[in-house]
Parts: sequence; C-alpha cells; structure tokens
Amino acid sequence: MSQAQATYALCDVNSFYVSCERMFRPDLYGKPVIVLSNNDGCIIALSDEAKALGIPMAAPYHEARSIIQKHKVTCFSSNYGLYGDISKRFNWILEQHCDQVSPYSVDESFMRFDGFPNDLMQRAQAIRSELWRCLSLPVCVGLGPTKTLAKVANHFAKKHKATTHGVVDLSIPKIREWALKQIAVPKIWGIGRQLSKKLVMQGIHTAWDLHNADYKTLQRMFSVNMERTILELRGQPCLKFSELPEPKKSILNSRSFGKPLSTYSDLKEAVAHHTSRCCEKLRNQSSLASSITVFLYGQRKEQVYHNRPSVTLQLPEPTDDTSIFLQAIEQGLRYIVKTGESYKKAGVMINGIVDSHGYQPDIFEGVPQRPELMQSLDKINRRYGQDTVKFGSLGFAKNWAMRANSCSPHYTSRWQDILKVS
Amino acid sequence: MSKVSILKPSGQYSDIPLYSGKISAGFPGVVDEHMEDTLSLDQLLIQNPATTFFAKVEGDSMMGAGIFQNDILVVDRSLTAKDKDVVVAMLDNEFTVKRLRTSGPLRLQAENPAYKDIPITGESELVIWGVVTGLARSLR
Repeated sequence: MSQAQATYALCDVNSFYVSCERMFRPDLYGKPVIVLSNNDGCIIALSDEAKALGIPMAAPYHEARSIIQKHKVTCFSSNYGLYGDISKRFNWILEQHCDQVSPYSVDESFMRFDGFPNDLMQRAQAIRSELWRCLSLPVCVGLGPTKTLAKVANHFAKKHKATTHGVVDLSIPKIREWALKQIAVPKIWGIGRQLSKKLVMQGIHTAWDLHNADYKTLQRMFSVNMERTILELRGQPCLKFSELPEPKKSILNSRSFGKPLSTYSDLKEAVAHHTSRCCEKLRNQSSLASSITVFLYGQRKEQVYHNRPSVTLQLPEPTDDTSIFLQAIEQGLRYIVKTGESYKKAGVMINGIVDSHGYQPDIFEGVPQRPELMQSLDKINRRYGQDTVKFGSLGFAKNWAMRANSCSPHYTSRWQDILKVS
Repeated sequence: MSKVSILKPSGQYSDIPLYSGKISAGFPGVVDEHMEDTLSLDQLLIQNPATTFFAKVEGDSMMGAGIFQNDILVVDRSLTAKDKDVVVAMLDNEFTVKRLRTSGPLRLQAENPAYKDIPITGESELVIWGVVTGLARSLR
C-alpha cells in the first residue's frame, strides 16, 4: 500500500498530568488543579479551571502563590511514575483500535489508518469515549492525510472542544483551508521561532501562506525540511510514520537542587545523571555528538546568579557512549568547582550533533564505540525504569534529588500507596 | 477433608514451567513440544491489563461477600457494571466497595447486617469507578 493512501490521527490528552491525578481524586473534577515541575519550581500543568483563574503556564510557583491560596487551588508535585504508567495504558488502548501506533510524547500518539476508511470520525469518537470511561483521560483527536495536518487538526479540536466534540478532520480541502488560515507560522510543527522570523520577512504569516508558497524556492533558502513541511501541509506525506520533523541540534538537561550542594562528589553525581539522560536522548534520535558543556549556578544574591561557571569539552570523535561523556564531564567539573562555594543548580548541554547513520569513524584515531552495550542499557532502563542499570559515577546518594512536597500516592507502582476503599 | 489439586505457581524461586506430556526417556524432543508457560496470578486475575487497577479494603462492610479488611481488590475500569456486581464507587467524595443493585430501587448494598443499604437518589451523586473482578489475600 502506498504511503499516500493513509489517514493519520494524532490523539492528545488534555492537561495530561492533571487528568492522571484526577483519576484517583474524582472529587477534584470541576475544581482548579495544577501540577508543579521537579523541585516544585514551576507550574507545568493546569486544569481548565486553573487556566480560567489566569494562572499562567510555566510560571514560577512563588509568583502565582497568592492566586493559588486565594482560590484554594489544589497543587501536586509531579508524580512521573504515575504519569508514565498511565501513558503506557493510554497507548495500549490506542493499540486496541489501530495496529499502527507511534507515541510522540508522554501524552500524544500518532495512529495510522491505511486506505481511506469512511468511519474514522466515529472511530475517533469511540476512542475518546473509551479513554474517558476506562482511564478518565479527556482526549482530542486530529485527523488528516499527513502527520503535520493531523497535528494542526488536533490543535483545532482542542481549541474548539465544545463545537467539534474533540475531533477535527482536515482531509476535507475546504476545512483545511479554513484551518490553515488561522494558524500562525510559529505554531506549525517543525517550524521554530527562528525560522518563522525569516518566513515572516518573506511575507509568509500563516500556515495557508506557507501552503501556497513555492516550495522549491523555500527549499533553496532554508532546507529540505522546509520543503517537506510545505508538502505535508498540502496533504502529501513526507514524514515516515515514526519519524519526527527534525532531530534536535542540541540536547540540554538541567535541574535545581532541593538544597544547595558544595561537595565535588555530590555535584558529580548530579551532573552525571544529566549526562546520562542526554545520552539516552541522543541515542533515541540516532545521533552522535562531539561536545559537551557542563554548567553550574552558584547561590543567588539579590535575585541574580553571580557565579555561573561552565566549561565545554571537545571529544576526539562524535559518540553516543555515555561512559565517554562521563569521563569528559569529570575532568570538566574539577575545573569549575571551587571548594567552599555552594551551588543551586547544575546541567549539561550536548552539541556538535551528527546523524549516526552517515558517520564514518576514523578507525585509527577512533574512540572505541560500544553500540551493543548502549542499546542493552537503554532497553533495560526502558523496561524496568530509569537508572535500573547505570554507570558507577551516577552514584547512589542523590543528595541533590528533587523536592516534592505534595506528591500524590504512587497508586500504580507501590503496594502501600494503592487506592483505599471502605 | 476437601480434595485439593496442587498447581505449581510461578514465582521468583520456582520458575519451572509445567509440562503436560509424560517424559519419555530417549525422546527429549517430545518434552519440548509439551512445554507450557508458567502459571501467573496476573493472567488468572487480570483480563484487561490496560484498565485494571488494585485497591485495598478498609473496614468490614463486605464480609458477607468474603471481602475482608486489607484484601487487595482487582478492579477493571473497562467493564460496565450490572446488577449484583461488586463495584468500587465514588460516593460523597469517598471511595467505597459495595454491591450494586439496579433491580428495584438503585442502591449500593453492604454485605454485613451492621450496614444499611445506601439508596442512590437524585441528591447523592454516584460514580462507578470500576467493577471488582478479583481478590488477592496473603494468609500470613
């Protein structure tokens, strides 16, 4: 079957983290609920009721504290174990409805239906009602002849939940035109803020403008990815089912500590943890990288970080081997940590990313690559949970572990935490 | 004395598969053909893994149905509750396990004479969270 004869669906859970919390707390329906990030630092999920109070997404918790207290908003620390379990169940249910499911993030998955089944709207509604009944998950479904259009359709289904009943199909050209005219370029999947600035200078403001643009000219000005996005907007599939628009050019992982840290070994443990997360992401997108930056934030004085040391290390060759990055960050960290100083935050950024498929290693100079070891490491950790198997320098103390003052019970992963019924 | 037949459970220390064929010396291939999966309590108790959750019983209101304090309930959220099903329901902001009765006036029934039926009238909102499909209990 050719790739053209398919309909793509993007199924996305509304306020996923809030919905997971509410499944075990039905008393919170209709009430404002928010979920906080690692360390209880920022607001990362809001119920519709919390949005209506004007609480902004991604705002630091302390900035919104007065509204939160005034309106008795229920706050949860993030319970990633629970969200991961519900995400897995979400995909199992999608798989019962469609044999081609590709998770895109924790709360969105693509489905592919071959041919042009004419009952897709009904099927999408059946998926919605089952997810609501069985997992208390409210979802919206976007349908279209390409993944990019399914993503746009999903945006509309979410925005106009009441009138669309949570399902929008952009297979119909007239509806497609109406929708694309309302989407500004930065909102298009795969077009970042930088690219959209350049597009606006070309007089391209909406997705419809881009849809009508000459893709050959734009391909010369930008890249082949731009051409693919344009064709996708026109209904011509260019992205393979499990493919994402473009691999990341740099990968960053950082986190504030629960309490300030000052010893080299504590800091090394934290930085090593971030490094191994970044390397996992690197391997996930089948890339290699040749440079890593380690950074620390010292204590804040008068709201400003005065002490922000960082160091960038160049590797002899691009790699995705966690142990090579770990050796590098150990050297780098010794260079920037000062005895007597304490630090509030640490992170790493990986740069110099290349595609691992096209890469020819230098067999004489090369760093030994151990793809099998890395693959089994990722496999085990995916199966049994993060850090089941890890490198020695990741440590076991976790003095820097996150603050989570109002975490909900681990309903699905700890016997002592399961639901109580009387 | 009641007759019991013993099946080997699967577990950490005894992961030995059962085989239904007789061992015939000299024909090891025959044994392989009859190898079966180990028995798993999950398989016995859980029909729909995607929609099944566990809950712990507090109190004695379901004693008559053989459900005691600290028992682990296997709750399937994909099933539609019908008359006489044991259900986990949300009533006045609390989770409760009771028998659902739809023939006659809609009500939740305890299985203990010390508890009265809970009538579901227009005032109280009843949310059926899931249907209890199984039970697990450790005896020591």
